[in-house]
Amino acid sequence: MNKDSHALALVASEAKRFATFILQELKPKGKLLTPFNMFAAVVLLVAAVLLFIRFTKGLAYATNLSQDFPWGIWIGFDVITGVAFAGGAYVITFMVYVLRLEKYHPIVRITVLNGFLAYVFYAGALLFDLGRPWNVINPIIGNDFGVSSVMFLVAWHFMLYMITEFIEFSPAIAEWLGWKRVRKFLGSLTLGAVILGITLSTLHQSGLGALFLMAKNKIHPLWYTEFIPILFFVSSIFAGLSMVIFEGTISRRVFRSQISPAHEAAHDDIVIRLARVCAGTMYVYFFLKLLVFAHGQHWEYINTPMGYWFLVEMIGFVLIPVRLFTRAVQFGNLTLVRVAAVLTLIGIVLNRLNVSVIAYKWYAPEHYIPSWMEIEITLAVVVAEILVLRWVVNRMPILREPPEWATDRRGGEKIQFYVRKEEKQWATTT
Amino acid sequence: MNRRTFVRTIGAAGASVLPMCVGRAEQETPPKEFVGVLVDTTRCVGCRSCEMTCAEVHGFPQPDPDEAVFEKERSPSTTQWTLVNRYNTDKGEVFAKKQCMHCNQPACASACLTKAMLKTEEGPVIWREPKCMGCRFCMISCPFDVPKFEYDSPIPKIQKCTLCWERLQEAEQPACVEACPAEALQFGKRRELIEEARRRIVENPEEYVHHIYGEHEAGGTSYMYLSKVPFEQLGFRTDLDTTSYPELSKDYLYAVPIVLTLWPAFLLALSNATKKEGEPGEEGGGDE
Amino acid sequence: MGNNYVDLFATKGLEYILVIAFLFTLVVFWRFLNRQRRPAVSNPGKPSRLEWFTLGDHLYYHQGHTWANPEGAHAARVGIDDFAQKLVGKMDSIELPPVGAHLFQGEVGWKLRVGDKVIELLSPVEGEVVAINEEAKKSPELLNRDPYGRGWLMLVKLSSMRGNLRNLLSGALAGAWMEQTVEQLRRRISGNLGIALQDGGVPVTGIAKSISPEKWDEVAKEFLLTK
Repeated sequence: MNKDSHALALVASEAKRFATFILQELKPKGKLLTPFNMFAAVVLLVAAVLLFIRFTKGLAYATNLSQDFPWGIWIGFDVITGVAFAGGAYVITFMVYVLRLEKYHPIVRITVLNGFLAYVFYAGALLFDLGRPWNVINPIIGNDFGVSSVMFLVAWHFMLYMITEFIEFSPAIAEWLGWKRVRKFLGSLTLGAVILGITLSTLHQSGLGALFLMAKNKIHPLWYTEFIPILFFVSSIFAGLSMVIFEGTISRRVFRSQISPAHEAAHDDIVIRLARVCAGTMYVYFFLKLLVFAHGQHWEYINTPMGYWFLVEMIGFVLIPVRLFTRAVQFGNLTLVRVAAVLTLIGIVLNRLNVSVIAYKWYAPEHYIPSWMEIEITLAVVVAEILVLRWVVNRMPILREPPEWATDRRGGEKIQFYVRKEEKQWATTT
Repeated sequence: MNRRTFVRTIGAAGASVLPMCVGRAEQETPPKEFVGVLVDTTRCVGCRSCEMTCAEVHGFPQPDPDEAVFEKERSPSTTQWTLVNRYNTDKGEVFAKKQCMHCNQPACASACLTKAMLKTEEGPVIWREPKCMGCRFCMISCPFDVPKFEYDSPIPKIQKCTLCWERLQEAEQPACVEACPAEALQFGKRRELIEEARRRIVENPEEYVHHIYGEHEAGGTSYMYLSKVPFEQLGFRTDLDTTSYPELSKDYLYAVPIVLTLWPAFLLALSNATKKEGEPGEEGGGDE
Repeated sequence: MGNNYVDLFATKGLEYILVIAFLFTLVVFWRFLNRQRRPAVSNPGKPSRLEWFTLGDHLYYHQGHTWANPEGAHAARVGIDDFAQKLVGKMDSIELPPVGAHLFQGEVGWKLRVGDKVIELLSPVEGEVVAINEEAKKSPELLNRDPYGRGWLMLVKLSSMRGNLRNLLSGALAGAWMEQTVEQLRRRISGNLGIALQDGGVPVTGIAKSISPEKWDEVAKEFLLTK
């Protein structure tokens, strides 16, 4: 009896300690009334009201969707572009865990976190767009498995990928909570999760493009091709990396206090290397687009307004960033890299919106323009994601070094995260 | 009974039983044939009885009976599953009824990830409310832009012609077909309708354009049309493929299991190849 | 054709199930494929019951079945290997050159006496004898019991460590050479010897005697390259 009550007391005290810890962590850190916070509060509040209207009255009261244009920016931007931007996660984990390029190790966690949050929030935002979101469990539980549908594939892959990303990210959570054994176990799952993640990413990045395969006569011939899935997949590589560069610039400034000088220096090196990968991939992508264009035999369309728009997308937002990236890599010019990254991101937005909204039914007399409410809610989703990201980075070891006991061991060597050795060269220390 | 009568009786009885045995052996259930509707626009007078009856049978408000509606080309909507448009063509005014085409291989049904859109074995493509999650992928995929979505409702439905599937279960004809006074609409097996259409073309070659719209378009549809003018003058899309639309995503969907097989194997091999000497055996396996 | 229901995607569900099964079994298969197995030729001096002859740790072997163990930078201990001792069997006496004598690699280094037969062995190294194992000389059965350890024969000061070692076998090569020797032996014996060796024991008369009771020294010299 004594032993039981003793064990119970132990469990109770552990639970209490844990609860106190969590409550402590939930409290906001730093100033509450910063400009960004106030802006975020306004955006979120307005969005909440709009969403209330949307769910009580119907999609027509918050969007400009119509019978001719069933999908607007909630799908075209939030889901399709947002997911392309999250492609950095599978590329970086591929480089670090499969190719074992340890140079990129410092940015793995922030990238995986970003990827995970992006999917959670954008797939979550999808629920706003669904007309009958309570039935979203139907394709999951088997009521019914519409296996003939590309959307079925995309939905399932989103779900599985979120789980995979969470597993990849979970060691950081275990470190935050101080659960050593759990941390060790989770670390052993990493390679498997990474491999699965890369496979799933390939399929759903291309799958988002495959969604439009059946809309053959409704998308402008310069954008419609049976190779849309491959183009979407390839472009997701440099879309993700450009986002990593762009987001890295911001988070390095915001979370400056967590980053050591050694990390800073190494980070610049990483940015240049990523720029090189972007340049190469975009170069290949440009030629893929050229191939597809030749194959489609639609050159007569070039000399039309839509044709000029196509050229703007290809030259202004693919070819020019390639040039900028290459130049930046040659001269080690970080600012140029960032400019190129931003241009690339805009190019991706353009490409995805073109396929889904702009070149879709380009012949329609009345074209779709997003309502301010749609834009507001999209903004709210982005803001919410940023807030969660900030909460996590401020508490868990994402940008700063993990606790001593958690460092991975590879081949008997301890991998240190931020050791500087001989100007911008990374080295593992024993 | 004498011997002759006996033999005759037995012979007759045996002969009558025999075809029953043979018949039963051959009586496997053949696959159900699609039903369809043939719309002969040369016969349509634009009375719009089909519109009215359809609205009445399915609980929609009665369409505006004023002829003025013909001035614009209308589209089916969330409150109207079918309608008749008036087209000014080279050969004068022609009326054409528009509704869901009930394709043989419907893009909408193949697009639906919950099988809310379903191609029934009998032929009609129906929408089942309990399953639908309102993603509107069917609308993106349909080459005829048929499904309509109730954007202004918090519990939105997809609205489109069902070929009166419930009535078909009761062995009744579709309401519009029954209502048509001009015999412009004919209901029957798709195969037989094609034969009938061909017969009409052969018997009156100047009356008709020598094409049955819907015989091959989008892989073949259950609603088919005959016309005396080229079909694009009646607001029909003539740039559609003769292969069905689901075929367009079929190749991609069948590549998926291949990627799911090749990628993990290749990545595992690659991760092994980049392993440095003396590293402990591979880390944990895949997880789902 | 085109008049009844055809499911274009009839097998998709099955395909997904197959792929999921594949992914799970891939993990198992991968683990199995990567299992480290001990190579069959490893000889760290711990003989398995099926191994006929052992090789000592980190030793250098001459093909005449003698070994050298470097000691320091300029000397090496020498002896005969397990095969040689099993081949010859119980010895009556060992004849070693005196301290100060010069050995030449590949030339006769010392002799073993069994009864009236004299078996010569080749020296694995070139150099000057600086010490002799008196214990082994007094009790030759040490060579049988511990050919690589207490059964060492001489300590030799080497003319050149590298030059000597270059011509000797070690590691995996030594293992391969020992396997060849076993093959050679197998071809000589008709199978009756296997019984004698399987329990780890050594016939008192030696393997060579079991092959040819009369001319066993010829057999031994054939293997020890001193014919």
